[in-house]
Amino acid sequence: MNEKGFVRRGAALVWRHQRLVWWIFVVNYILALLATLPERIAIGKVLNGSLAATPLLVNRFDISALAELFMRRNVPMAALASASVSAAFVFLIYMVFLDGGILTVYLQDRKLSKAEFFENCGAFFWRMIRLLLFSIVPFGILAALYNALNKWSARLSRDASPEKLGFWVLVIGGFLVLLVFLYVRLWFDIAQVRAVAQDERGMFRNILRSFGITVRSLPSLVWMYFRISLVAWAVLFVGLWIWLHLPHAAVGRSMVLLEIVLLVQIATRLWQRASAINWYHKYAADHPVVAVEFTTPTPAEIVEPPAGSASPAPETQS
Amino acid sequence: MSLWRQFLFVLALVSISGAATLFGQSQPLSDRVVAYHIDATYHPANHSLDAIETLTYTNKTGQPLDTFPFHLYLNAFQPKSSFMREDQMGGTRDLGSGFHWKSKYFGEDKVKSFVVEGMGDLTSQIQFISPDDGNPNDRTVFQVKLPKPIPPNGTVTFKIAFHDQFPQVVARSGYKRNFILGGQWFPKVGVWWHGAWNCHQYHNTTEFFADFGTFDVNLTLPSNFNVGATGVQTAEKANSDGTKTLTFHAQDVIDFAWTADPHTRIVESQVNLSTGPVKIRMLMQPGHMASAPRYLQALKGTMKLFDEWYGPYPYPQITVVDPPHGGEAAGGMEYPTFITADTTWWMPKSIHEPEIVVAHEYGHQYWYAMVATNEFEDAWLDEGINSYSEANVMKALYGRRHNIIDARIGTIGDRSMQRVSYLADADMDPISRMAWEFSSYQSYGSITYGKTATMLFTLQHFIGKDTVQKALHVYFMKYRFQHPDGQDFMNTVSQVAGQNLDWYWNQAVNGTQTLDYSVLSARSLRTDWYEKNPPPAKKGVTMYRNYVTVRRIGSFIMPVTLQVKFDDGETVRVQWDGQDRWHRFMWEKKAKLVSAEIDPDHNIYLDRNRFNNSWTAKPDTLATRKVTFYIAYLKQWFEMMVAWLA
Repeated sequence: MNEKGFVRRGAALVWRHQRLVWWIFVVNYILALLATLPERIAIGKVLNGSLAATPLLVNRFDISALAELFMRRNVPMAALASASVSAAFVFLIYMVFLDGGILTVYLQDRKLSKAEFFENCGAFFWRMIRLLLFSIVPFGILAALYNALNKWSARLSRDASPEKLGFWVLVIGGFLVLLVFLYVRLWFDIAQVRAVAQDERGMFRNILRSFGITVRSLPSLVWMYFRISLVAWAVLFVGLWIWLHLPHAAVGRSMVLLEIVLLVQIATRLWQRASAINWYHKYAADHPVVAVEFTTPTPAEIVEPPAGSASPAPETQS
Repeated sequence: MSLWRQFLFVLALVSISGAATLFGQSQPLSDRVVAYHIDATYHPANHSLDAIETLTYTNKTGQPLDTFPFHLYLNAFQPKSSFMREDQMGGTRDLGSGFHWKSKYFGEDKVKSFVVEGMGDLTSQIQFISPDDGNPNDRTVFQVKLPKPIPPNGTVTFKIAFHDQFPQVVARSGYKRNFILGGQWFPKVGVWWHGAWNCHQYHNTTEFFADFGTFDVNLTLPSNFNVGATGVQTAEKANSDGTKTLTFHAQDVIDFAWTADPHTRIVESQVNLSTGPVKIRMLMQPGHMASAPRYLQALKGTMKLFDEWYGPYPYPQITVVDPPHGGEAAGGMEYPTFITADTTWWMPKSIHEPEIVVAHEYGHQYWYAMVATNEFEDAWLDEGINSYSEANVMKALYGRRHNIIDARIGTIGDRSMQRVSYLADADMDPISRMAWEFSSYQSYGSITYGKTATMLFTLQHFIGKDTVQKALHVYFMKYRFQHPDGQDFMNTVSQVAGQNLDWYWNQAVNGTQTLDYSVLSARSLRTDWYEKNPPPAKKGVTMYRNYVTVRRIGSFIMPVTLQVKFDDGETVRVQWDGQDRWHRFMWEKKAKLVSAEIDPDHNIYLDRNRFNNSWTAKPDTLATRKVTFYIAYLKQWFEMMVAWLA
């Protein structure tokens, strides 16, 4: 099976187990709603009884009116935004928790009972946490790299003679960082798969082995993830384009459309993971684990000394 | 004579005198107190300049003068200057507070010799003064005491040799790579104003003030440079050393600025105004050529509107300079007949930044260059009135609600932007405060630009938009080529409006009162409430007492209109003088309240909170749902991004 097959089968896998996508989406949505509750209350107090609200913010979208709203002392956006950090943290933990269950479903390609699913979630939770913590190192390095690239690009945009140099440095450099970012994500995705498929317990060793495995197929694997990302970006682009062409007052339609876009983003992320599992299946089949033969040592026989006799050191016989 | 006839009479007088002055070009337009002749050589290798300035000053003060103060603006870019000291505290144009001033940003204007014709070399008499803050290390103003006074109507000629070191541009003047904007680059004499010398230090929030006169400038620089300057070029001479000397002449102007860059492309055009054709000369960066038609369209439109609304533009040329990337701090600046614009290679059509900058800076030809107000003391008279004019121009040229950002995602109009700018610091400083006394650069910008424009838009509500426009026309025609102050402006508007507006000026201009009226509560109560078994409520039959309580939250007092709608379709408008903290209106009707709204025509732009101006019987949650959905959606994405780690 080639990469195309992995991707196609990955999509089929996600489709067959689409309940997972919906669960992730629903929790993401509910958490965001809860995190927005303070804003909803504060903004509602200002706008619900105002005749100015609909003409400025519904029939059209006057950005200055929005700025004016957020400048009100009773709509402290900065303070209210802290709830979103908590929501994001909870969602992260939720996703880490689900990892074991999701991977088991995809690896076995069957519907698990609730008990089985959550048993797997719990069984692999701490391993996934350890992987998450390890992944912070390469992701942090990449973030620092991108930050440096951004600063360099800004400096070039300001000081270099060719006006667009800074822009192209950012575009090309950003693209390369993105590819590396995709690779790192893939690397840790494979590590997660191995943790579940091989029941690996040593996560550091797992990361090193996963690196060795993935780096050998780096171009094809990154291309696999990149292609799926392209689908996600295309859907995002088309969705935003349609949204921008909807009438401002079409609030309901906008909500449905934008949520569909987000749902697709979640699905494509799972698609990447499912494709990685397919790839790993193939890899494992091509590289069977060689059983190491070793002789089981015969248990030592202890000769009990006769009672009452002097007791020399026990001897072992082999 | 009625007020209206008086106004027409004044208007006719100023128009006739204006036209006569303009078409009879032999007559000076201004009193021409100063005549500058400068021979300057620019050294692009180290961004420096050496020059000899010959300044002839005519004493029109009516009294003998023996002390002359001069500005050395470039010395603001020295580490111990008041400008930098204040920037560290409150920021400045293009820079936030605490900007790290590297040495490349330092600049200097050094007087090498100071000779007074007939009195000898007085270089040793140069004394730096700090009239505003007493900073002994500030070298932006010096004065020289002459051995003998200059009598009234007498003249004195100063010969000043000076050396400029331009900074890399961070605020208005300086270089970026091969580009140079020579602004505030020569020793400039102060203005005798209100019976005293007016020569303030260069502060982080201040601009400039100067007398009218003539400028003859010879500028020598490498021959591959394209040059633009105040006035018109009258001669060009190629030198044997690979340089060229360009001669510029400008008259009836208050300043002289120039720019040079070997890479710019020249775009020329022409606009026909009431005084005849005016040449447009634009120095464009090669990468910004896509913005050239946008600049031109905005400039021509603005020139025609100013010509129509306020009065004639009397100069033969206007020069527009497009600064290079990284040199944006040189953009958005005004000098007589010379403005700097601002754009980028990627500027979307939906963002009208190139247009608004050109409209604003051209407006300064009227509110700064011709009506030459004191930008140190009355910054609102140039920046504020100009922001109001700019918003009107943008509305006329690009529509009302989307003339700054016209994107599908949302829109911003200039008037709304000025209002939001005002809201940021609505009560920090009064409009009339001296520019360097504002609490911060942000407050200076917010009040001087935003509040003044918003104040004038609100004034339209009381005296009418046409009256405000006529007042500005009269003010321009009366005070062009003069140095009016704030009181002159307010008196002119009051006169044209034919009413005493002191109540308004005192609060809006001289005070920090904030304006916020709201509908506090509204209720419809049955009149038969005391009945034991009242009949079921029936529309058009049941009698109600309808109460609406309005409240003045702010300290700014002004009369307001309240509009009330009932469920029988009737709409009622009542006036409230706004004096008390609150007032309750009551209507006894066979109808219930549907809504109540203060300022139903949305004319009181100074109102800090327009969302509390109304009350509705049935709350409408659609706006809240829309806004909070977008916030929630962004949070969903944020969660997704973080979960990418999992």
